[in-house]
Amino acid sequence: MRNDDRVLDGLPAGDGAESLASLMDALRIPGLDHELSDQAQSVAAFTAALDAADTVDRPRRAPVRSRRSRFALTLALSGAALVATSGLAYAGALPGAAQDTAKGVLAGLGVTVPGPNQHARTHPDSRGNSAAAPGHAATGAAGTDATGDTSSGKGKGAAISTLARTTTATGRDKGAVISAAASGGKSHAGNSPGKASSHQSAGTSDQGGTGTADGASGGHDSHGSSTAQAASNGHSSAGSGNAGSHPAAH
Amino acid sequence: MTLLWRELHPRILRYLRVAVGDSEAEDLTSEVWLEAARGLGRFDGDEAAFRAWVFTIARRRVIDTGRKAQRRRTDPMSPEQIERARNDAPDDVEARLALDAALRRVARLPRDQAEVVALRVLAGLNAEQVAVIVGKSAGAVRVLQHRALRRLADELAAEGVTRQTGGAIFGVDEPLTA
Repeated sequence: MRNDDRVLDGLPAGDGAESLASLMDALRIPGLDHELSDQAQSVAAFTAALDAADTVDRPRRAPVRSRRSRFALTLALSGAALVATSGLAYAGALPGAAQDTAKGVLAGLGVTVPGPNQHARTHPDSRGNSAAAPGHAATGAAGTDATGDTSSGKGKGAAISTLARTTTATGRDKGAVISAAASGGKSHAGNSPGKASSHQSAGTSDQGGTGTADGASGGHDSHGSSTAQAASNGHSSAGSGNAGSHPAAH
Repeated sequence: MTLLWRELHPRILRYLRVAVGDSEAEDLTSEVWLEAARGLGRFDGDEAAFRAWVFTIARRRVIDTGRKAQRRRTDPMSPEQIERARNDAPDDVEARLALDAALRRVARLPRDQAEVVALRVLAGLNAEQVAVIVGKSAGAVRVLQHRALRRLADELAAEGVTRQTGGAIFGVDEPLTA
């Protein structure tokens, strides 16, 4: 085997390999005239092809790389979205309809995820009009809050505001009307001191009623009711209704 | 570039004469150079690697054109070729006829053996480099080259060819037709 390599590599070989060495030498002789006769033409063609490849290849390669990059990016983003959606579905954190769909799809893959109502406790999702669902407050004057308390909330504030804008009373009388409505009759703001003697808030009701009337006539929802609460020395529930964030107010 | 071409072109041409026959070899050699020019931007390596790369292109050309079946055909020299050879310088004539005879001998080997010998000798590649090109192990390449050389040696011995008489055998006395 080693002698074979020597013969093929043109190195001196052992005895008996002379004829083979001659054969290999004949194969290896430098280019003959007839083999090199079209040198000028061939080199020119090669050079031209080289130049053409330089100008054509560069703009052609960029889109190829770009398409590959876009494909890889799309694949990665799709994978990430799939993982994220599956995770949310597993946690039951998707919106009801999406959770329902995800449950069906993943069930086909043998993955069990919660349904849309499984984590809803006492608030299972009922499709359709949300106003019909218990505990869901509709917007407007007749709404209820999450606890079902109808005596407070935006609705009452809006009603008091409307009363403030539409009442024909003026000055102290207007304050008295609004304050009485806001406090459910507990406030006597705007009345004369004598009439309000049974309430601790009577002493301040003059100024409070006037202030409430002035504020309410401005047409500000929250201002009217919150001022009414102040005027009634905490007996009015209107303020808590308007504020919304103070459901425990009197 | 010219030097590179002068060094490689005859070797590629001879390899293709062994692989596909004389009549197709010149056209294929031109195609190999054009393909090399188009793909040169992708090549990265030294002179030996370039040689291996170009012969890889040549081998692929042989396969792509489906001309392997004709490989063993040994084209006889036409009367015009003989006359042209006689008009060459005397040294060149002898060398050319010796070359033609040697190429025909290699071309008559079994296909895989002929391919290994051609790549080892004409392309100047070692067994490991040839193994990469032909998709075989280096050991398999060495087995093939051993069988090829033994076969050639047996043929030459049967014809009584020695190094001393080789000039005559590889020269004008060698029959030019298959």
